[in-house]
Amino acid sequence: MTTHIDTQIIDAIVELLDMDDGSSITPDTRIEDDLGLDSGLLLELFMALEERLPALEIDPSELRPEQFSTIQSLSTLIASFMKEDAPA
Amino acid sequence: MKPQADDPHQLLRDIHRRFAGSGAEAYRTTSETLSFDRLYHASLALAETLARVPDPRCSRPVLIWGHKDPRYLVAYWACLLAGRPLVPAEQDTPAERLRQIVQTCDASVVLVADADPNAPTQLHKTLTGSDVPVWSVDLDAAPAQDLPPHDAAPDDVAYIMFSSGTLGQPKGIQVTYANLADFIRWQDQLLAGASFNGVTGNIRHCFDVSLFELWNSWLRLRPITALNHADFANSTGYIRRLAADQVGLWVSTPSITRLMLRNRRFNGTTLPALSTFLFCGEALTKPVVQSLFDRFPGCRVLNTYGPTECTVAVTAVDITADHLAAPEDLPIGYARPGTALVADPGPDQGEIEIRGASVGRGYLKLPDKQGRAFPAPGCYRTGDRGLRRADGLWYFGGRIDREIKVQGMRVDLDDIEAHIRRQPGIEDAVVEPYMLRGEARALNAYIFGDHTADVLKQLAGQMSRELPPYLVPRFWYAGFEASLNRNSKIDRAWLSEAARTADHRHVHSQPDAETLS
Repeated sequence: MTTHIDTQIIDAIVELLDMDDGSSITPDTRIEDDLGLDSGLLLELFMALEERLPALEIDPSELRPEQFSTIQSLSTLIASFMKEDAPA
Repeated sequence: MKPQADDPHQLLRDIHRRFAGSGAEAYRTTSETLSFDRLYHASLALAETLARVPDPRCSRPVLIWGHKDPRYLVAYWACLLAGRPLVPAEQDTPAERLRQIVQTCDASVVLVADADPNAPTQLHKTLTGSDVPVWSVDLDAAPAQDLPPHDAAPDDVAYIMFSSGTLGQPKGIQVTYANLADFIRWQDQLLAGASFNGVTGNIRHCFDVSLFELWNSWLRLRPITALNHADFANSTGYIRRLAADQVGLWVSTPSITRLMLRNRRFNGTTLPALSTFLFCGEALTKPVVQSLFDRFPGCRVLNTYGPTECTVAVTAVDITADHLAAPEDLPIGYARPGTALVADPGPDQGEIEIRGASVGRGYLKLPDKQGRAFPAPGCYRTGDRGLRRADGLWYFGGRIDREIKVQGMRVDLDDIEAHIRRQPGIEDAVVEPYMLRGEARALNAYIFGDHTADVLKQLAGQMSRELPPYLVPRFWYAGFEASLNRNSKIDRAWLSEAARTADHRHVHSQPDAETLS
């Protein structure tokens, strides 16, 4: 199942890597081993996600690379950083 | 301080002596700090030990292995004080390359700048087959006596930087004490009007742009707030440290700043002390400067340019709003005092040739390369195209060959292709930069012939054992339509088609490795 956060992550990656579309990215896609994101691009991805998700506040001390090897695991991590849902 | 002494060794000793008794911090990492006084005593003590290593001509270098550790500074100063050439080596240097470097420069000692007590033993094992001693660096050592004078002359080698170059032996670029002293004096002039309480520690020590950080810290007794590159994704954490340490001088490649700018916290409100930005190592672009002007109102942005062969940088200029508004790219600057730039064939454009006090000794044991790049002593041909305005302001016009910068690191595409072609069973390969938004972020390798993803993986693995991480392509392609065989001119459209239609693709990832410099 693809969640709202998954979609935001995939859209941000498509934009970040200048891809035609996100059709090749699934929840199991590995961020480093399949997409080739290095730590610099990863940093850009986090910042892009903070822009896309206003309720997101990433706590850098909580970041562990092993926590986000795939889109799915990154999505779980991002969900844990979401503050109380902002009013719609 | 005003660096006054004419003799380079005296100048270095004068700067070092001012560290004595200063409890001010010299270096801050997330886990350790080092005061100037401790740096003074520990480096003097290590210099004494180094001076006892038999080397009558002070010609055998000392390799310093580490990454962003206070022990690096102690080792650095020990070498300068003992008159031994120093060679920085990063921790992610592959074992085979490290052995090559030790062998090429005939290192007399390897100093380990790492807090891990097991690191020297491990490094000793890595260097198996070589009888070079591996020493740890003691931050709390105290000198026993006055250091005896050494025999190194002003035109002897102070440091050697190993640059790209994948074929045969690594390319060691030698810079003398006289070159270094000239650079130090220039720093005093370049940042004469600037006041700052601290300096960034963005740059890896194997990249000579780090000399801007080191020497501006040491000349003014200001601390460096060091960024461990394993923490790169945590820019928020680094910004917090820069704010707490009131860092005022920022030194980096444009790539690093571009990344930081992605973090909305990188601004003058979070970092009110940060007022001077100094760039080197890559072409500085207008959007980066515009963002800095917007986010740090009133900040000073200095652009510099220069090859490692000519002691870090040879030109500088303050970037103004007029430069941003002008139709041409940003200028690289005016020649620094004591150095002249000439365009060949000229008079105002052509290959940039550098002459003067910044021009280093050249390459270690590479006579052919030396002859081509240094046609005469004190003269270096950069391979860069330049354009000079009537008032002496220079603009960068690209490379003459296929050497490019990937995130600040020098990469010769021809060289990497040749390296891949030397692997058994490989007939041909094309290597091109992986571009994102006009910026080279990594490398793509297109392998001709009937190969599988496994072969690509093996190729990438083999190269990563032999070469520094930034020289190993990240994206590998095979099994694409090869009816158009490779010719001297590569069609970019065709390459992107090859990437799209390739049957086999491999992404080479490098855990613990960082491509930024």
